[in-house]
Amino acid sequence: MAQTGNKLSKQALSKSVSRHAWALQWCWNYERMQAAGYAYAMVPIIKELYDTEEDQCRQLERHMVFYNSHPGGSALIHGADVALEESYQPEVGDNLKVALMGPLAGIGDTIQAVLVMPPFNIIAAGLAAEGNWLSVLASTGPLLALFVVKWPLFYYGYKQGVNVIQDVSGTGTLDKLQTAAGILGLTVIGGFVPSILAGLKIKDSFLAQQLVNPETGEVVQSTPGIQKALDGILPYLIPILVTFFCYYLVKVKKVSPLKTIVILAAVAFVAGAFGVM
Amino acid sequence: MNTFMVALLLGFWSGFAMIMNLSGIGIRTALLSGIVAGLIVGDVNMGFEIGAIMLLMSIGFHTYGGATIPDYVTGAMFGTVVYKTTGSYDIGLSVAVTLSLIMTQMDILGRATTTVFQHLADKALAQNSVRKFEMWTLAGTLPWFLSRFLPVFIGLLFVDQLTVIADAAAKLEWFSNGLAVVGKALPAVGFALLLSYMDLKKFWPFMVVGYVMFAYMGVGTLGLALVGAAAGALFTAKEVAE
Repeated sequence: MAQTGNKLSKQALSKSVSRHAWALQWCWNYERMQAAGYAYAMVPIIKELYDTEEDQCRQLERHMVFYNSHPGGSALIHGADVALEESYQPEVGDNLKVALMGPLAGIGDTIQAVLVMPPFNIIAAGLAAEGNWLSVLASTGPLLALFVVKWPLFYYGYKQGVNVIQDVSGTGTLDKLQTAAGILGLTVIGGFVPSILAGLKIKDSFLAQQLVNPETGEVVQSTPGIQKALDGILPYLIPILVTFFCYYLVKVKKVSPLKTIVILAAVAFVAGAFGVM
Repeated sequence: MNTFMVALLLGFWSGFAMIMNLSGIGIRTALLSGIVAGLIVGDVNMGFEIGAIMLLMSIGFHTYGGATIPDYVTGAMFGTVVYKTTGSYDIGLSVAVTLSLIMTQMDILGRATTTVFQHLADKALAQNSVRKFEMWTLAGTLPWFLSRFLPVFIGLLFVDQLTVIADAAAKLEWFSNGLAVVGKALPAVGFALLLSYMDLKKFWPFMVVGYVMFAYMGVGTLGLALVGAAAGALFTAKEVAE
């Protein structure tokens, strides 16, 4: 093994972290997912630590195994792994990758998919519906922030090395944040179901009966529309029923989102085509 | 701008935005794509209108990165172009909704074909060439780019024919009525998906609060968000105190 014994230069670190941030998923595929992207990010590191191109390629091949995590969480793994490569403990680094990619994917996905995106997306969609251009910022800003955070996460992981494992296992603040985001999300959705779906109404003309005076053609009596009766029970009853029907399909019946869409679209189409709604 | 240029530019935006999405820069949203399409055809506000409604339909679907979901982004672009050429929001929206559902399968193409480039990268390493390895890895962006570029580019070349069909369909009252209700109902699936990730059992009262604030008091989005944030802060502070 032609190890150089060098300490890593600042340039190699910054090159590697940028490559990881931008290109981790550029070769994403069903077979080994982020493997090639990860190996690509390790090139500047491996080049400084090993002399001959032949050795460099052997080391990179080590990284061409199945790998998949949340890109943000992966930045932390990447930092720690680089520290281990630098001290020539590649086996420890490889094990660390396997050990942490699952848990960090879980934490990263929770932060992104439950904590950050739903509240912001709901708010963005609402602002957009009101014609507010702030919606553009609300729908793209959060992900930009998650992108930028990969740099500090990498350097934190690099400083901690193997110790990141302890950091990952003890994250209590996450639960608290999740609770707060859940409450925010549900409050907003509560208002959104009626406001966004307000167009779902029974047409006044549907099944309306009018008593017409046969001599004058005058309307003497007409039954109130079905919608009026529904509004008397609870405002926005149909939006609520439709949402919980979909919720029932997705959550209880485990129907896939796409199938749920098709079912709902079919029902809605028929209702529209026959003049019910 | 002529059809070819519109198709080329929007195809390029589509492919580019997909690669940025892989990097985690989420610019491939229905809203932004509608706005970009609006800029290209010369009416930003039309793009905003279509993009806004498509964004609404797409909420809740972002977490299903690995699954096949409707392509509301492509739909928003086609809808905006058709809105501009026909001047009818309803026709634009019906095209947007229909195409979103049809375009779902292109994602699988991108995910599956990239494997080829990964194998070429493997081979480069076996031949001891770091440079070639880097090249093939970066080339993995190509199938991802094409999976979004090609359908948009080719589809938009035929946008005139598409518009004729959409226009004819819009004249059938039952058809356009049906599609209009579909558009109004689809956001419900997004809400249902969001609700399915949330702890509805524990936090359902907050949903009732939100409902009452809108339905009986007419509070808008920002008001709902502020009350929700305050409730979240209060609740977590109380949990800590206990």
